[in-house]
Amino acid sequence: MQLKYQDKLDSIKNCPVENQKGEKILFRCVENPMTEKSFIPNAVLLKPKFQDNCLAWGLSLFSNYDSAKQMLNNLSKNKQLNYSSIAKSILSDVDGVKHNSKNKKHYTFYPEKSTDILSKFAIVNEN
Amino acid sequence: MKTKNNNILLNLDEFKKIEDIIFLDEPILTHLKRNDKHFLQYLVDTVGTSDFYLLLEVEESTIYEYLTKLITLKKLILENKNISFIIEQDFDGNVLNVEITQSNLIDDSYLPSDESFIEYEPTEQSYYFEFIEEFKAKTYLASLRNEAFYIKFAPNSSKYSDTIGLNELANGLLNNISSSFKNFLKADFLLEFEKINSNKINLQNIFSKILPDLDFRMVDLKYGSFEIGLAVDKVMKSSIQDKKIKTWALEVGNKYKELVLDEDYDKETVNKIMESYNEEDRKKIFNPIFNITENPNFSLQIKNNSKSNYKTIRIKDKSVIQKIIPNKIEELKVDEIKEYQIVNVTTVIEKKNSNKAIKLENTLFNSTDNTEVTLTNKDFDKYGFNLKFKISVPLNIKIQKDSIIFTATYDEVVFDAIYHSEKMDEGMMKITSKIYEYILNKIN
Repeated sequence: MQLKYQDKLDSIKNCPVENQKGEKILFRCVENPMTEKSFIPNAVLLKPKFQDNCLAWGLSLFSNYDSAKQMLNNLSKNKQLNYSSIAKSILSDVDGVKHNSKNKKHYTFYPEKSTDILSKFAIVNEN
Repeated sequence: MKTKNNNILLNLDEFKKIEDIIFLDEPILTHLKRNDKHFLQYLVDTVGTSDFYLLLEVEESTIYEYLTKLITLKKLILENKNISFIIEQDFDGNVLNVEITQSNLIDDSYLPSDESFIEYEPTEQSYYFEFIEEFKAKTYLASLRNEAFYIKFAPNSSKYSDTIGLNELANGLLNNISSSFKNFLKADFLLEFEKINSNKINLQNIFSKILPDLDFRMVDLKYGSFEIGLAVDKVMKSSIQDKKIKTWALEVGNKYKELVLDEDYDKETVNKIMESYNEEDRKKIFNPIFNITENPNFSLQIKNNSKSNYKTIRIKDKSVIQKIIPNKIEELKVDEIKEYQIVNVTTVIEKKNSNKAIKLENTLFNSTDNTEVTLTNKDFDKYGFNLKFKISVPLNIKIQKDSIIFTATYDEVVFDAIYHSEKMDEGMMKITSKIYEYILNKIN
């Protein structure tokens, strides 16, 4: 499977590590309305200091809504301005590679090259 | 007044990265270590081509509190007493500027929400996997030690300096305290809840379920003369659902200490004992304790915490003992006959039945395999060993598989005998004869 930024991933040792198989419901902090930019690893594209950080080439996702909300609450008020909502998706193995980080609630998702990732997510209505 | 300082040199490469605690497409909160000191690096803003990080020196225990949802990130930052740094770093990782600040001067826009809790669930690969477990154990033990009271059991003879024999310890102290405490738990539980729930079987079932959670936790130990710190666990009792029972369970250990391990058995304590427990319960609770306090070979001491001084539990007015356990000597004789009746029970239960416990009438415990009795002149006379002085020797009888183990301590010497269960009387005769022979040899 070819992943987005495959050439960059290939240049990093053991990247990505696929340790989660199967279908999974996952959540992402996004701006509202969502755009394609919501699913671009902006930090690594802008900041050379993260070039060799495998996790930075993927998208941070969370195992449940509350964990995603917790992460937002832990951002500084300045950084919170970049995120106003939480989006949800059901991701399977054909959509890309899922890696569960050292925190069981955090996942890094590496989308398959042709996956229309924007269409796979829907904003969760807080009410 | 805030002071900016552009002249501080800071090499972040000298900080070892422990783990990213928050990662949201890039590291947001990172745990760093340098010279055994712990730091948190927190991304607070990005302006133009610069990232601004707050660098805080924190205690490891604070990181534990944050990772286990005991404090928020906001509180962690605001209550940090150390000098903090605001680091401006470009996108290539070069430090452009360092500003020294302190918690109360940190800009609000650099702070997270009031609800900035995190529930970090580490995988086995995470540094925090063992860290959290170790800290949990450490803080649990530390909290128990803070609440612990101490008892000390010391020999009055200087023969072995102030060291204590293993059998003396097991039979003279631990068995008596444990037996007294178990009897107290049962009596006090019924005292508290019989008036609310008159169904005795129901009460017994409840008591049996919670009994394992009622035990004192041993949280400290010193040897030589034997010192032990005991505490009432407050964390694990969350499994007890009923609020009234839970409240009782949290208090009963302290109540035992106040009433049964009272240093002088003053009038107020004795009155409370007399009002609360019937004669039969008092005998079961206090007899094992008086067996220690009235033994001239040992002293039992207590202190309220690790820093206070020991006070000997001493009942100067012997009529108090008589009041709590009337006719103590007669009662002991009755006990002797009862305690010798060790019974093996065989029963039939359904194979699929997961509950293998056998309900015995009028007891909250399923069975007992360990008992204390006192050998007196009457026992020696019975086997033809006549003594010309009054004797009283504590004897421990323990069942182990098919054997009965008799252990007695007299004159600081330990005597034992092991017999098969059907030869109970032979065992009694053997242990009595061993002590008698020792006395004869000593006299001659």
